[in-house]
Amino acid sequence: MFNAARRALLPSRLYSTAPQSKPSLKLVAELRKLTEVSITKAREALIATNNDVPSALKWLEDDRAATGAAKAAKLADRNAGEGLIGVQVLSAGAQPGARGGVRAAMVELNCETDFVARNELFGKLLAEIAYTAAFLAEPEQHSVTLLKPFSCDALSDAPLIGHRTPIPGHVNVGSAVRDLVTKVGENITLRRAVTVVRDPLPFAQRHLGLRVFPFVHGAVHGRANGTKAALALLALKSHTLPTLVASEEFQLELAALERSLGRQIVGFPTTVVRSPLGGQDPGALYEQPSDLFTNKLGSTVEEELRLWARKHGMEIRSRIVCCKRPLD
Amino acid sequence: MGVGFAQLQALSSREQGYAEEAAVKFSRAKPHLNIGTIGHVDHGKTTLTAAITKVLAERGGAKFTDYAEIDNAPEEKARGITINSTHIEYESDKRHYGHIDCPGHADVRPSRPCIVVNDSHISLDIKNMITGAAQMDGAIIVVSATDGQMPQTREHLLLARQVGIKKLVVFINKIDMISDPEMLELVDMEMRDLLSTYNFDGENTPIIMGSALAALEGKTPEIGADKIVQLVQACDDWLEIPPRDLEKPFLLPIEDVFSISGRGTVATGRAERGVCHKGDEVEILGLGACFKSTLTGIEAFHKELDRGEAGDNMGVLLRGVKREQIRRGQVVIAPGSLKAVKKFQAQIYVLTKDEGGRYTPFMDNYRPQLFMRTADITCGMHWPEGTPDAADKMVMPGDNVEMDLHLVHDVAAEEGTRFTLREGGKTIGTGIVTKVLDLWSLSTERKMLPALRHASRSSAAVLRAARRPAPAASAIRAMPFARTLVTKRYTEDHEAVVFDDSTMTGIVSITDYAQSSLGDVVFVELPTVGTEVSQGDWGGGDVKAASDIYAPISGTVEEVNDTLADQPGLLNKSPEDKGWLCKIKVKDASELEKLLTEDAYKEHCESDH
Repeated sequence: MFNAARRALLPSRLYSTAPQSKPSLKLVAELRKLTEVSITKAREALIATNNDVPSALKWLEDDRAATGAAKAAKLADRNAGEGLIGVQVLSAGAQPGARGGVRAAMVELNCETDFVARNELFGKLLAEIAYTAAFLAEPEQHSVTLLKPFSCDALSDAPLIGHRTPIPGHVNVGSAVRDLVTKVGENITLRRAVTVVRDPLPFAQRHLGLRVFPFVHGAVHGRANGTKAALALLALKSHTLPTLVASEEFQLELAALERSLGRQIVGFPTTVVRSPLGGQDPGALYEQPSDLFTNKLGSTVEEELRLWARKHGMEIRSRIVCCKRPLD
Repeated sequence: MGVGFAQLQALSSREQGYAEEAAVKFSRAKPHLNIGTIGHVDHGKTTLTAAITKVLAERGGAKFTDYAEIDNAPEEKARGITINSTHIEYESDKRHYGHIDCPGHADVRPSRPCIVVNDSHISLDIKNMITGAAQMDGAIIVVSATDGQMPQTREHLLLARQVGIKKLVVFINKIDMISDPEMLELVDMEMRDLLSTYNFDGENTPIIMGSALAALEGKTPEIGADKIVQLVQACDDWLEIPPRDLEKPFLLPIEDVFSISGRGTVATGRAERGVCHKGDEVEILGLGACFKSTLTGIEAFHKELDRGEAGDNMGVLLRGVKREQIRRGQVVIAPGSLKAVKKFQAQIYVLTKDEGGRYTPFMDNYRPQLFMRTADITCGMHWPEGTPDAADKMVMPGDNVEMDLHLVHDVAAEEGTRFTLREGGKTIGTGIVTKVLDLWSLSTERKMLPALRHASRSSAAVLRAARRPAPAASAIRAMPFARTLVTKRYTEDHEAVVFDDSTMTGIVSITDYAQSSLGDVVFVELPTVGTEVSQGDWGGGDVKAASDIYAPISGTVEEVNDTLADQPGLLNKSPEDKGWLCKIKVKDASELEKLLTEDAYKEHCESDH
């Protein structure tokens, strides 16, 4: 029966300009390939626009604004317990040839099932939202905490900034999320976002440097999204810092140290850098055994950092460490 | 040694009752199949599941399980691993089905659904595929006619592939909700396309269109109940029943070995699959062994039998096999039905600390113990070749990973063989073989080591080949006990003899080339002191040179390195620490001239490869 039906779809009916009372399967299929909207919606769009694909696309965009919110609201009370974390670093700090500013963001986007989390559309959107957060965050010059939560409401209202390809039209983060909700039919929520932004230090402080680095575990589509992730900041202090930073060997060793630290933060239940004075915090990074370090030198993370710094004639300090994972 | 065959059997069959239970399980009248429903949360999987039980209940083939019952599956712990579960089973005219509703409702851990079928936990979840006792054999993919396939339908199909489902049946649901029936053709077309993209048979996969709700509510049977009947029929016709354990080739993992005077060597264990008969030819495989024998006796349930089958605790008497030739961890199989493997890729679930696993992550080259059937082998875990940042990647408790396992010894395994990983007495992971990377075989070994030519015919393989590149043959180092060395010579077969002219003694060892290129020695049969050997003799008959080592020179065996009998592993040490095999009082020193010099040996080794 369907074989016959498929034959019937061959060229005789494959024109898109002539008006038709009802849209051909070919056109619905084409529209779905372009937008991944549901069959009902694709059909509606074609009927409304008299089977003209470009206007149907436009119609869908308008419809998204009109009905997307309603659809999203309908699903809003469902539990979105799965998802991924996306990390984007726009400027890593102390690097050869860079002025040393840091700019990075980490975002958690939730959905209902792992299937949706692993879908390409979800991964792309998450990367774009993280990029947007990093791009838009305001530098904190005077605050002690360099790590600043980015309000999810503010982020939702912000225009979505594509990190590879520009986003056509003016789409904000919230509507992009709603758009995905209509496509996958699951509740999708922006759970939390955090940014690290600091303008380059003045020349007088050239012996000081900052480095921000991500660590992503269980990476899904590319290396920027994963099931667990951390964003951490290192402060470097050395009188020869500009020379060191320019050295390729130093950069390699710094990168290796960052990876070891990143593993440590994500691999152990890390919540703070060090225990409060006189206290013992099991989540304190510095007191952890440095099991996940490659080229292990000491026995705790603090010792590793001290020894590493001494080796390079500098002081080093991880000022801010943040570890996030879904569902915690 | 007065213990009889029967008593030995009793000793090893600690779980006699278990075997009997298993036998009952196999007597089910209709063939059993585990299936499940997959699809988007709102496309009606649970409604369909409820509808199937309702329609079949009316024909006496099921107990009606309503929507709420399926949807509120309690979380259960199976083998210490937490999964969701619900019991649903039903029967068609031809088959008995265990049914999984997955992934369930948004409120119930959406991607971790599972049900229990006949006490075996299964689900469309990699974790449960790896850990679960049962495999999902087929699935019904549910797609709503109003939406068509969703972007994440790809991920559903990918997972179905990954958990080993080969065939699917499609149910297009909610057909009463669409205004234009022509759209059904589009859903049909798109599904067939997508199925083909993910290597399912898109062309021939049955697609049934109906309304699960109508069936559940007992309305419009032509799109409701009738379609459910059609769907079950399609499952009967299209989904294949996996071969049952009894239909598979015979496999008995060896738990214990006994020798019974006057009768021979008995291997005991619980047959994992297949059937064996007295007189059958079998193969013994694993831990360096690969040889054939004949079952001259089978015993189970304290009786001598002509036939044994999967689930039986049995002892088998093996013709012409010595006690030392077999051991726990090897398998007795129908010849050729399995291969010995040293390297494979596996899907592994790493237990969380709450499940009794590790507290901390681990990295590349982590070395736990691999437990496969009765074998216990150290293995190294590595990221598959080509993994970016392999040295920096870690594995955390709770992760599902695909990794390469490099085993220290070979073991009989194939795709789908399950295993656990342990460290310090606790289980840290569980896995399933997904791809065999490196077969261990005597034929390759034979090519590499002419001295082992007899090993395949002989019972025990002494040296096992590892596929490492041949290193440059370096000179055997002077042994501390040789005083005035006049000659170091080599046979083509990789024995070295260090001749001490003051005592006319030749000290025999294996060259470090053999050492490094042939892999670990697991078993050495040493010659008896006092035996006369002639040059070129190989162990066998009356001449007992180390069984797979040629005597490089004629003479009388004067001394044997006895420690090797208990610790053959000493031969695996670096050349400096390597043990010698035996000392031979040399009859004719001129024979040394017939052996290769260091340079000639080196050339020989290189030309060999």
